[in-house]
Amino acid sequence: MNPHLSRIAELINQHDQLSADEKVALNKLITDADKQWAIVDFKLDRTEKVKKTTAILLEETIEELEKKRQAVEESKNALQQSLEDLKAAQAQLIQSEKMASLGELTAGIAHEIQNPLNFVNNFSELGRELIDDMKVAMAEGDYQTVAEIANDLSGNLEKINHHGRRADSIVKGMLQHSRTSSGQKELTDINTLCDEYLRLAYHGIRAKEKDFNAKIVTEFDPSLPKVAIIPQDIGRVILNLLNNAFYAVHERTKTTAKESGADYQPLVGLRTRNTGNWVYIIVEDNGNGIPGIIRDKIFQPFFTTKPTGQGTGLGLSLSYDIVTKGHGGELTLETSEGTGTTFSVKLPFQ
Amino acid sequence: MLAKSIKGTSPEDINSALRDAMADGFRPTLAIVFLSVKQDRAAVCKMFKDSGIAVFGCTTHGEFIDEELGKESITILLLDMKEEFFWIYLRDFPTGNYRAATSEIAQLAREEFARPAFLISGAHMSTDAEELLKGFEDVIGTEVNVYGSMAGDDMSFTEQFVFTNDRESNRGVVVLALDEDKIKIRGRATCGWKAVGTPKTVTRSEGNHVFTVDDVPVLDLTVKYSGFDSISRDAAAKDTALLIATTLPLQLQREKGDPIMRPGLIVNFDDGSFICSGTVPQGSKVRFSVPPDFDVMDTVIQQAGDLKEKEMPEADALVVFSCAGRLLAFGPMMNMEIEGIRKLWNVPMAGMFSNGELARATNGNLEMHNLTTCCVALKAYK
Repeated sequence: MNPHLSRIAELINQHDQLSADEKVALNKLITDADKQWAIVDFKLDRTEKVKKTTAILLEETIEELEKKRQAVEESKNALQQSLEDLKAAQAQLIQSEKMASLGELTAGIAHEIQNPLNFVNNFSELGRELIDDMKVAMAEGDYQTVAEIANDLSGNLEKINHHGRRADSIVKGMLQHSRTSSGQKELTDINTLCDEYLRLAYHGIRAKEKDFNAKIVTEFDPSLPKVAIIPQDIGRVILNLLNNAFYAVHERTKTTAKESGADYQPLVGLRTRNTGNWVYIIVEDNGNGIPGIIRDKIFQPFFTTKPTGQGTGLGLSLSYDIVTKGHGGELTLETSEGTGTTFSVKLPFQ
Repeated sequence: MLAKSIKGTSPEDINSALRDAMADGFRPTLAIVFLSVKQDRAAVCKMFKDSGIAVFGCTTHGEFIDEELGKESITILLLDMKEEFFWIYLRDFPTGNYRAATSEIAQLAREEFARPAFLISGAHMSTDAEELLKGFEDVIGTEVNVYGSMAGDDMSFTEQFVFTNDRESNRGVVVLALDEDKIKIRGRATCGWKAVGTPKTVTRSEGNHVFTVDDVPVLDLTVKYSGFDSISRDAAAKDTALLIATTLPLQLQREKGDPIMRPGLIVNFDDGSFICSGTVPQGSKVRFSVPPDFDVMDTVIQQAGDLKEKEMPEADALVVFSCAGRLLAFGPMMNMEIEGIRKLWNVPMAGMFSNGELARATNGNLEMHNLTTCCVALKAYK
């Protein structure tokens, strides 16, 4: 018992004026107080010990947390750097893909430029001859003929100028295609865009595969309004889909040629359609179709069925991103082995 | 089944209490005996043998039958269980053959009962008590009901005993096998110790022998957290070291299930290692833990109440195993927890302070626990 309480108990028990019952009651109170005292004393002691331990552990925990925070910070910075490197690599990759597709276009572009150049050359040659004729007429004083030749020259110069502008627009288009996308949407005539890229793609494959032959069917919806798109991006999509379609029918042509008695007419279609809210660009071919086991993979980056060196595996992946992320549209495919494939680009008006 | 609990400070006291208990015609067949290592076990056992009463007993760190906690005393739960409903076995495990010892007992019990359940007590500080439990599971299955404790020795942590009428062992296990088709037995262990600090890795251990944590001798690490600058590694510091080990126990973190307490029970001053009551695998994560707030005693009582409500609405008798570490942590308040549990069923009870408790925690596996209170209720089917 606590010595103070013990002393109090002694004094109570020695006190004559207290009755026996009162002494019993007081002694019980003292016993209870002693128990409470012991409990409080014990609690205090234990709390002190626990406090000491908790403080040490807490300090250590804070130190460890700080170390972990620093490690997380370092990881975050490293990740940030990796992300930036990745973005740079991705941008580089996209540019490489553009340049690769530009390379594929070279033959088509050359062909497209050759036509206006031929006109320019021919009309300029003709112009020189007309000037010679004009000189003769002038020397003879035949001003009636001079006037007629001058009119012809004027018409020729107009044609030269027209074809010069045509070549200019092709070169500008090529430059636009190779340039990093500005990301700016502009109202574009989708039918014209399709037509231009169809020409480029067709001449491109013709230049690469001398024996390439396919029936090209176009069906452009005349009701199509101008649509706000990033033309060089959607142009790349059309080009990629057409290149794939040409590749598919050409592959099937080569396979079929080995089979005796086979009758195969390669066909590539390019259609546009206006449904009121959406614009569709549809590229279809009657190639071999895409096998079921790879159907889910064809939009994955670096997936290609072409032989090594012939495809980067980025064309469809980038096309998918351009249509979905860049334009809020959809890029879907329907395919049937042995029948062909149809890719549909669905773009919103806005 | 009738039950009575008696207590005394000597075999003579017990003899007198036994006569009083039997005065009304009560004829016990089984005595669950918890006593101090200082008491005359042989005299107590002989007395019961002479009275035709089977003994399941062990030494303790303290014993009780009510809120008044005994010290260096004897407490006994007397039961008039039909003799064909129980069987008592005692086996030594001198070579650490814990699993084989209990496996053999389980085989024998299964020959007696279709569905045996067990109340057990083991002796010796280095016992891997989980191996004892696995021995039962090997034979009966993982759903077997086993409850029990590791014997104590009045906090001297030197030598403990388990015993029955004719035999005792300081490195063995005593088992009370019950016919579970006749006697219902249910128990639950509740702990409440709070983990503190960050998880640390056990960098060297063998079974229940933990050498280093985070490459530091576990004793040194524990001493550091206890607030002591250092501790001398000699016999004089033994009690302090043990106090530190038991009041700042390791808590083994597990991928599945709740963490489990693993305090050091034997401190090796040579290498600063602990021998714990159960396995602490090398590479596992541990945290140090501190005693919970005092209201955790209410949690223990609530858990016992949950056991009563869901599994054991009625009981004939109650056996309580409480870790000696709780006695150190709750001091003069420990009796509140004991009394709270007793009042739930309000039936005769006997309990002890132990070196470890064997039971299931809530939704847990059958395991060796520490710093828990495990209450076990018994009821004969009518």
